[in-house]
Amino acid sequence: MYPRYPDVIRTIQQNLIREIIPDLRTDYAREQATGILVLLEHLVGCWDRAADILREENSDLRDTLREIARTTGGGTGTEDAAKSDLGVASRGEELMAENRELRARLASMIASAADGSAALRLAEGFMARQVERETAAVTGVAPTWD
Amino acid sequence: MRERLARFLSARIGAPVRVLDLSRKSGGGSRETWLFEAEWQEDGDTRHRPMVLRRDPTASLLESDREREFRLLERLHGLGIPVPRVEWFEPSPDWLDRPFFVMERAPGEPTPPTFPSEADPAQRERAARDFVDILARIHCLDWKKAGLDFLPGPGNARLAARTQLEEWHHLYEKERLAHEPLLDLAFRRLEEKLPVSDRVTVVHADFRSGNYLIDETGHITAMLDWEMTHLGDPMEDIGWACMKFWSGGGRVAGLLDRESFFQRYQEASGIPVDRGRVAFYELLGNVKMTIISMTGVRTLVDGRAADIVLAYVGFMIPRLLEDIARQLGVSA
Repeated sequence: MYPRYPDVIRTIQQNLIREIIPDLRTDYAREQATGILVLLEHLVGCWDRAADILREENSDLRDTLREIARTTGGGTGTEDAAKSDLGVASRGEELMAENRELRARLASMIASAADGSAALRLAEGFMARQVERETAAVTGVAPTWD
Repeated sequence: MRERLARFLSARIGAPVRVLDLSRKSGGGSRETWLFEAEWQEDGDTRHRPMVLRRDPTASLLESDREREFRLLERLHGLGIPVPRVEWFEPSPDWLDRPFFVMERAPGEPTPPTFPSEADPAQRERAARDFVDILARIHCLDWKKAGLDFLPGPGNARLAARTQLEEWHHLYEKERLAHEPLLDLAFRRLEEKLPVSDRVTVVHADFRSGNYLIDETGHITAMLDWEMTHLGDPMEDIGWACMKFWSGGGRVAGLLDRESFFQRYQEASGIPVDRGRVAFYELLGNVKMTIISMTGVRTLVDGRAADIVLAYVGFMIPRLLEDIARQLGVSA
């Protein structure tokens, strides 16, 4: 048995609240520490889902790229971008690297697809799903002004 | 910091200066802001002056940008635009490690980035009136005559939108951690719909609530944050102010409804509001704000800055993307 991640994060939060913040001398330092507390709270809420969120996005990206290639029959100059030559990553840093690569491939398709084309509509479908995913992922931590 | 700043002020004022109540404000990825009170003896009296120090962060904009902001504020103050009076610009790192300038602390308090919905309606109305009037005065400045031609600009009015688009696309290419497909699409659409402006004016480029100070009655005492100011299309400021991101209660900047904003602006400035150009700059505004947020995250990831506010800025990106998707008509 060892401290699990949420417990570690809670411990850091308690340490900040009880040991560090009371001894901070400036408003700036206290604001920074309070900001760290909020971000830690966000991590407690999503640490177990972070990799799943990336896996889901990467899977959607891969499916979208395949669908675009299938729909266009490789005739849009986007066939290279749609090649499934990437292995399926499973861990944090690999998932992020894979995500960067898949996003770059989609960007390449967006640049070359014709206006009103099926390829562009499929890419837009991914974008809409992505906005929904990202909005849900930051609920509770994203600042609002109202 | 306190002692070094006191040494600088003593050298400039010509008397020993004490720096009191020095405190740093959170936020501001491109500028550090410190508030303090300077105290010194002059003609047998004790003088107190509330002041602000604006210093370059550990890694950010060019030194020339700092000097440009100083020169701009100096000129605007002389022209009667409500801005804090600047005192000293110091490009050398010898005093405080990085370039900085010192200005007076204008009276009044800042608001959140959208005017508070619970505010007294009379206070909001006064702020709205000043908001429009100040914007109109900025856009009506004869910038050549006023010696503001050192501001970066498009060369001629026809190139105003293209200049902005290219500048921000370059920044996107440089600062992104990964492609953002919606931004790639937005740049494509903006390129297709480049508008042509009929005039070049001073563009504040961050004209919104949160960037001014108000007194207790709601009057705006000073317009702040001129670091992105350039020459360009006046509709750029209108589009930026109209962004949903700064809106509250369905009001532009939380202050007044869109139609009233347009009407009052036209009356005050004599410049017709071109809704097509406003829509272009509103979309570009969301794109710019997303890139600014990305840049904040990038500076954290690269270790160039450590202000925790920059992490929060990153969490605003999905909300901005939501607005961009809506403007582009992107749906699942």
